[in-house]
Amino acid sequence: MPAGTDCPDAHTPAGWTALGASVQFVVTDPARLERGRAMLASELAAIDAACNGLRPDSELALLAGKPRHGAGPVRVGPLLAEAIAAALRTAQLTGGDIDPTVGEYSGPGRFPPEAASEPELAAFFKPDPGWRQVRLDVRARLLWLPPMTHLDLSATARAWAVDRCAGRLAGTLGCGVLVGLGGDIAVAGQVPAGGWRIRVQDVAVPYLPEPRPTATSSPQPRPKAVTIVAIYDGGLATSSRSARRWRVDPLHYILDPRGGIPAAPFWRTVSVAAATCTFASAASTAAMIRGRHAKEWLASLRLPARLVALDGRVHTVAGWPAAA
Amino acid sequence: MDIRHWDPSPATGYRRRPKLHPAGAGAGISRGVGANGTATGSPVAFTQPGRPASARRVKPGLARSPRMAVPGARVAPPGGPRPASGFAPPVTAPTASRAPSHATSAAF
Repeated sequence: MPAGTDCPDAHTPAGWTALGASVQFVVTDPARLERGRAMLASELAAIDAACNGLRPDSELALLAGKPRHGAGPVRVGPLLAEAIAAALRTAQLTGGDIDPTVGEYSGPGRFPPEAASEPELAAFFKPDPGWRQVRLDVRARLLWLPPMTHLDLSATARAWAVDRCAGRLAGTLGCGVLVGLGGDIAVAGQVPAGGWRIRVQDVAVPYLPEPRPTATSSPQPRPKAVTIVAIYDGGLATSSRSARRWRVDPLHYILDPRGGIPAAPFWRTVSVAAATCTFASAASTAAMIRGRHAKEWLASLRLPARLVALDGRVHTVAGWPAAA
Repeated sequence: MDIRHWDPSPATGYRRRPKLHPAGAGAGISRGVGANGTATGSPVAFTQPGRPASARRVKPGLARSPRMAVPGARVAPPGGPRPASGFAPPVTAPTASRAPSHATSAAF
C-alpha cells in the first residue's frame, strides 16, 4: 500500500518547503520512506541553494551581482546550469511564452510596491530583453547573459526539480515515488494500484460539500473546485491567476513576456498532464498566457488538460476525464 | 494496400505489373519513350491519365503501380502532419478517481 494513501501527505512534515513551495513526498514502499525523505531533503536543499531567486545567498541571486565584462561568459554550477537549460528549453517549447529573462521584475525588491496605482504599475513593467539572447554551454557550464538581464527560474525550476528528484529517487529506492512542489507533481517508478491520485484544486473557490436540495429551493449549479484524477506516469501541474496575485485586479503574477505585463485574464486555473512535469508546467502556464486560444493549442499538442474559465465553467481536452 | 510497408517480394502478392502504354498515350507508365514520342532514357511514372509525361522519374523496377511509393519514404499520418511541438503527452491519460488522494496540485 502506498505510504500516505489513507491520509494524504501524512509522511510529509508540515512546513517543509523548497523553492518557495511546500514539499509533497509519497512512496509505494513505506520501508523506504525515511531513506527517500533524507535523499529528497538533500537534493532539494542543493537545488534551493542554486536556483531559488528569492534567496539572496542563492547562486542565481548572486549571479545578478557578478560583474559581466562585455560579452564574456560566467561559469555556473551544475545544478544551476541544468535549471537554466530547462528554462531555455521551456522558452523554446512555448514560443517565448515563458521567458526566464523576465527576472528583472522578480526577486527581492523587484516587485512593484503594494500601494502602486495602475499607471505606476504600467510604467513599472516594460518588455524584457528576451531569452534568445541568453547562451548556455551546459557541458562547460558557461553562461552568456546580455547586460542588465536577470534570470527568473521560478516558472520552471520547481517542475524541473520534481522531475529530477522523482526520477533519481525511484531509481535509487526501487519503488514508486511522487514528488510535489506546490502545484507541480512528478511521479516515477512503480505505479500504485489505481494510479497516483492527485487532488486538483482551484484555490479561488473554497471546497464545500454539495448542498442538499430542500423543499423550497433547488440546488444551484456551482463550479467544481476540487477534483481527483489518477495519473500513471510523467507529471501534472496547475497554474492559476487566483494565487499570488497583486492587489490591483486584474493584474496577477503570470507575466506575458511580449509586453512584460501580467497576461490578460481568461482562465482562472489550468491543469495539464504530460510526459514530464516540466512539460505540464510549461503548458499550463503558457495556456494562462494564451487565453482564449489555449484550449485549441493544448488539444493540438494532445496534452490532457482541465481549464476553468473565469465564470467557473470547466473545459477538458485531449483525454482529461470529463467527469473530473 | 499499405504503401508504407510496400514489399516487392512474391510473398506479398504484389507481382502485378502495370500496363505499358504506347508512346503518346499519356497515361500510366511509359518506358523509354515520352508522351511526345521522344526517348526519355528511363522509365517515367505519372499518376493522372491525360497528363504529359513530365512526372517524376523513378528507379527501374519500382514502377509497379501508379500509387507506388519508394520504400522507406515517410507518409503523413491520417489527419495531416503532426506539429513538431516538442511537447510529449503522458503515456497513459489521466482517469477519474473517487479514492483518497496521494497529493494535491493546487495553483501556486
